[in-house]
Amino acid sequence: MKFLPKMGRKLRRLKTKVRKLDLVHESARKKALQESCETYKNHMDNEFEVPIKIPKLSRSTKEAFLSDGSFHQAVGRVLIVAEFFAMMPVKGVTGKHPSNLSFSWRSIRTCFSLLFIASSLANFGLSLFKVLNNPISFNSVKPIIFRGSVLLVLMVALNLARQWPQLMMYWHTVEKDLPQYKTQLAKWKMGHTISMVMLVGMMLSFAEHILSMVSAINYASFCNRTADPIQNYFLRTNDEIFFVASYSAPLAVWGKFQNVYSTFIWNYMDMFVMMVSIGLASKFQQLNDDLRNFKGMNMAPTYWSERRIQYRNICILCEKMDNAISLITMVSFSNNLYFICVQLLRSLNTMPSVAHAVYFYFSLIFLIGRTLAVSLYSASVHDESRLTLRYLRCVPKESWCPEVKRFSEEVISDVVALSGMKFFHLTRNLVLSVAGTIVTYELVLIQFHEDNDLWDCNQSYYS
Amino acid sequence: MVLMGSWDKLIAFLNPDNQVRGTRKNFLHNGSFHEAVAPVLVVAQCFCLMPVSGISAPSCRGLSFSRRSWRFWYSVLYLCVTSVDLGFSIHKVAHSVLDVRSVEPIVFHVSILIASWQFLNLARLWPGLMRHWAAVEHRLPGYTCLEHLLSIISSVYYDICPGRRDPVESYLHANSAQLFVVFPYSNWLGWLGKTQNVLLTFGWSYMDIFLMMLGMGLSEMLARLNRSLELQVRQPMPEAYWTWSRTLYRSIVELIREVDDAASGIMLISFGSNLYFICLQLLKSINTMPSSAHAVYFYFSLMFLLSRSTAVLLFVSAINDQARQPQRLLRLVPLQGYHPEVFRFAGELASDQVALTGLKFFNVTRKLFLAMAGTVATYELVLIQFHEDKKSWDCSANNLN
Repeated sequence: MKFLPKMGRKLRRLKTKVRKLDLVHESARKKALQESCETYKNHMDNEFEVPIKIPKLSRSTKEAFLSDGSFHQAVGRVLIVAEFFAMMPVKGVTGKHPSNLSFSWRSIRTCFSLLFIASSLANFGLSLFKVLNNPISFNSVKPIIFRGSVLLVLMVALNLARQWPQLMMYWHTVEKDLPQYKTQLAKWKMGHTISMVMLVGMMLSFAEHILSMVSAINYASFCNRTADPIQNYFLRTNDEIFFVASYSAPLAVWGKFQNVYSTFIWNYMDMFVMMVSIGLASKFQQLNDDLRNFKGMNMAPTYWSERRIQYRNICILCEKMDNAISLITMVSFSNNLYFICVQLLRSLNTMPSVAHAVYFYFSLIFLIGRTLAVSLYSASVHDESRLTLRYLRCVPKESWCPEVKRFSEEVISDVVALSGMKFFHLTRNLVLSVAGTIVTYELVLIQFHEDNDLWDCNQSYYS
Repeated sequence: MVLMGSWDKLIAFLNPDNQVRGTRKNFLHNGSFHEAVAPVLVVAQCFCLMPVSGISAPSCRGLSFSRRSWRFWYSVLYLCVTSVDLGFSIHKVAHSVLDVRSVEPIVFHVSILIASWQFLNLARLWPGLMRHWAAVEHRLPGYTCLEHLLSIISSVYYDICPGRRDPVESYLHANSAQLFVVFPYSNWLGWLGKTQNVLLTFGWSYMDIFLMMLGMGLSEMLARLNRSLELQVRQPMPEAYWTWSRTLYRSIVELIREVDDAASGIMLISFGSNLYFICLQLLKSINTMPSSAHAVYFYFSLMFLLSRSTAVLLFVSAINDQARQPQRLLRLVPLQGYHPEVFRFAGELASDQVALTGLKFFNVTRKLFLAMAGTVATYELVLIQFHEDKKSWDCSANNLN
């Protein structure tokens, strides 16, 4: 019975030792945390600092022209074009680093944008006035819908421009964490797709505009009201202005300018949705490529937790982008739906001339093709996000851990996709349902269709 | 190579020195999909589709695809000729009134053209696909009813292959009107047009046959797994068994996804064109028939079209039915045998949708049948509104139906 108090003493000593050890451990942990916080802060500061310090006159090297695979760099040129057309007034879009981005109300871009919004508003008012003074039908509201949606998109774009610097910074942090691209080709791919989509879209829309001018000239000479052909043309294309005012050259030029810009912006909203979708889908793809490389292999739980966090980050990014652009998506989809219905309805009419027929069928095919492209590109975000599940299914039994289980459950239960103001998700199923909707409405509209009133000289012309 | 091979065999047969006695082994099937589809693919090759070499080889290792083989160029030639034919059809339709019926030849030609292009693509992927297929097949439990798959495939094949009675065949049968709008009539041109028609009609029917074949092959694999599961689920099995069945199921699903990536374009074309032609034929059924021979022929062809479309849908959706079967079976696992692996398997089964798709736009399941029937009914009701009787019996509309 002697050793009991001894044991008691030993136990007490041990306890105090453990307590000391705990304290030491605790302080060490605090220190480590502080240090890591500080290094992180320094790191972030450096990153913000570095791009500003770049000397002005240095010979550009090969690196300056190589893409680093970031979204910010890929959309730079596209946004420059948009700025030229009075949208997205952000400074520094072609800069190397997203921290160069800035928005200010007093910059010349913003003023230009605001000026154009005011001018569009005036034009919208004039269109509204003209339409309300005529009998209203499905067809005659076309100019209002066109100009109204352009106006709406302009305002949303201005609002988006304010958020753009933060969004791009967030995008940058997500991109930095993702598994890195292996080759230069992989880095170059997303930027290339975005530029090609933009280029092809713009070329086609330019061709459409030229054709519309040709057909309008044709039409103007057909219903010539005055002796001057140029005046006839402007009277035709800007009938909403000259419904109120009498003809004058500056007004005609303003109308033409307004037409060209509106057409561009109307096309650009689809391009913009496609661009963002391509960016998001390629980020999911980057993650999926890495998962595919390790498909069916025994990976450590840390690997899975890392991938899960990366996936989550992209999902959050997707949600942020969706919140920012969902109004544009909504406007773009409903616009396309309306215009396809109108154009299909018009296709029943007899065409007055060959120029009309060419323009009409070209614009109809372009419209359908563009709608299909937007739907498919935006659905690709959803498709890519689901693809991850396919790789998670192939995890062997030995490395199946709670982290993988959590990851796969999250992928199953979340719907990751762009949306139209949360009313509908952009998935591949939507394409079929939109096609079905168009056919149904068309069939109903055909019942009320009368042939002759569409190509009448008093009818409002646009688009 | 198939022809060469048979030629060699013929020579060997005629030469008494070389005569080898056929053993029983030569006539036994090993039950592999590769072997089962060989005759179907050989016929397809006669009609310029699926230019893969080594189809009748004993194992799938003999399969190969090369751009320099005559089969490939035969198919390319066929594509070119079809495109030219399409040009003539468009030329002809553009000179008449445009409506649902008059675009029929264009729809027909375009769908065949796209489908044969898809088949060309598929041929490139075929050797890899078959090797993957054989690898999965190898892992499956033994075949209980060996002849099952083979017999079904061949019966379907013989039922459907004489596609002569198709509505479209008859429609094109009499003349290749689109050619003679451009060229004056000549005998050789008529024969050329005729050959082209036969090839096109075959291609059109072949799409459906091919899809049924894929559907049967894939659902049969799942059915084999299900049969083995059914025997075991009521007993407490070791965890290794569940790992084995889960990975097996997973590999079949991976194969289905791979097949889907390769063949979903054909699926979309097949379903789309079937929908269009059913609508069209139903619309024509309102017309008064000029003679009872016409009526018999017409209703026969309509029935044929309907039953063929239904058969494709049912055979392909069998994949989805079979893939959901294990979920029901897993509910019967007793408590002692309920391992984490079973839990994982059940979770995966509950959340996955396994089916072939039409270019990922729709899944081919049994629900699709009703959806399609509804669509046909809706469009039919609308089309009837615009229907005028005499049009489809007009001689200048070059329509025999």
